[in-house]
Amino acid sequence: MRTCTTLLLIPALILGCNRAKTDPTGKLDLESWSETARDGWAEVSVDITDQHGAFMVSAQTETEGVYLAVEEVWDPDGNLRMSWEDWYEMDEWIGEPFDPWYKDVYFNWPIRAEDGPLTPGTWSVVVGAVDDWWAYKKAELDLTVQRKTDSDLDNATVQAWVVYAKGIEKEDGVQEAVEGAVEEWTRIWAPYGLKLQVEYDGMRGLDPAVPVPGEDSEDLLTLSKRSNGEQIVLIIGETVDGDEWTYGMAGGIPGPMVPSDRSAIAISWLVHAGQDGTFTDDEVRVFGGSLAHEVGHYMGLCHPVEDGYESWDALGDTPTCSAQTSCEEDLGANLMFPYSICDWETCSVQETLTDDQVSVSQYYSGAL
Amino acid sequence: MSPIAHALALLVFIQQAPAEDWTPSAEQAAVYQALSVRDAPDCAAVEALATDPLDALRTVVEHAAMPPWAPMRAAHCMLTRHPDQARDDLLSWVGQAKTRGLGLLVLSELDTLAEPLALEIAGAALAGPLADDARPRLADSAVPSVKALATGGGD
Repeated sequence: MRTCTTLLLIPALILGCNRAKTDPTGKLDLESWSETARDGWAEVSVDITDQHGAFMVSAQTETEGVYLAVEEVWDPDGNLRMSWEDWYEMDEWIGEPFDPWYKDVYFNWPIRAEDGPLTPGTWSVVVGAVDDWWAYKKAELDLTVQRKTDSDLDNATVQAWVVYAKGIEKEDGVQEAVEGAVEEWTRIWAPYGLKLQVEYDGMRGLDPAVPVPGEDSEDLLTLSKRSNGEQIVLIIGETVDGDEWTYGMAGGIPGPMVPSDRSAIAISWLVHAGQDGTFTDDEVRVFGGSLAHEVGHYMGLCHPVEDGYESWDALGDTPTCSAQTSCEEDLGANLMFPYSICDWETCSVQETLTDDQVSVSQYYSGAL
Repeated sequence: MSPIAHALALLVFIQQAPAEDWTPSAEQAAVYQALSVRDAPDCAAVEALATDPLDALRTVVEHAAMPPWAPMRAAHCMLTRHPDQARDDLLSWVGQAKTRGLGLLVLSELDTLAEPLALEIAGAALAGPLADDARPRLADSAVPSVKALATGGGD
């Protein structure tokens, strides 16, 4: 039997700061329940009215040796709208939901403009539970459906909760740099109808070597339980996972809107500050681009082309280029381009989004 | 301006001025490009692009201003894969305020180094302008002898 819960009932004060104060808009409802996938799969029904613009299905399991993925999506008229087989070992990628890589899966629908609009009726999403060899396994599933009552695909507000790990906000110039980067991110998003509503907090109990999302961090799970349920959580640490290789990492493509150890984007301030550890205006600009880029992943955007020029996103209006020169020419100004185009001293501006990329962002259930 | 002050000012200018005639080699450029990727390959893959990886990495650390993660990743590769050959670089980074970012990088990865080198670097950090940065980071070390330095103990 399904029992409704709300994220707002989860106790706060675990890590040592006040709970985020932004009130939820009420545009994202939530229904969660548990069930056993006896044959290794579960069919999740989602009732949609003409008030709904998109929905997200989340599935999590603690069953040992089991990984989850979405297998099929069926519309109210009984048409198969998307299948994992369409995306298996393809040179186009649409995000993580069809790959059984994790013990949880997060599926936002519609994904692209061509997948929408969402028609009223009962949609069905089939979630598979498999082992390392992709054989179906019986599993206990915690399932959640979130529906957003916002069908405006031209304008949306995204709530972000920027959390400083232990002591980071006291580092000279870091708070100013982060706030400058958020201003830059806000400016990048504005032409696409995406507005930001940001709250800041400090977490004295959170390691400044921020854990990698998706690697069983209790701290990330606890932190995500304390967001207001509509926020994307960004954690500013000194490093991600204790080294300076990773400048930032999103918890998923798309990322969850329910609590999990993947429900965050981890960002290193130090890697963005460079050799001298202080921020120039250029570094703040690039920092803002990193925030917009990583949150873009979290909202479901893939790189339009991967480094190597042999695989691409599944969007119709991002050119399918196949060499460095043509890719930089066609896509080098795109926010989601896989690398910065720099000449050792400066980097070119990368902040455009195509119409199809904007649609993916606007369909994301956290864009309200 | 006195002749000595003029000479010092000129020296500072020379040290700070970009070497306009400097041009990266093809290998250095390839390493820089690989380190500029947002989801970069690992150090081994980057180093495979150069016949003298340490030289290429050091070049990126010293010459690349942007993107900021390129020199930081190059420094990470130097520290994790060539710690003995890069000893002077590591000591220099923790010993100067102008390389505080690199110094913090070294301090955050100190536990990955052999203990004698870690102790040498920790000592240098405590003796220089990054001492206040070093102390709490050394206190978090999993290596008892390094940790002891933070509180003034140790050998």
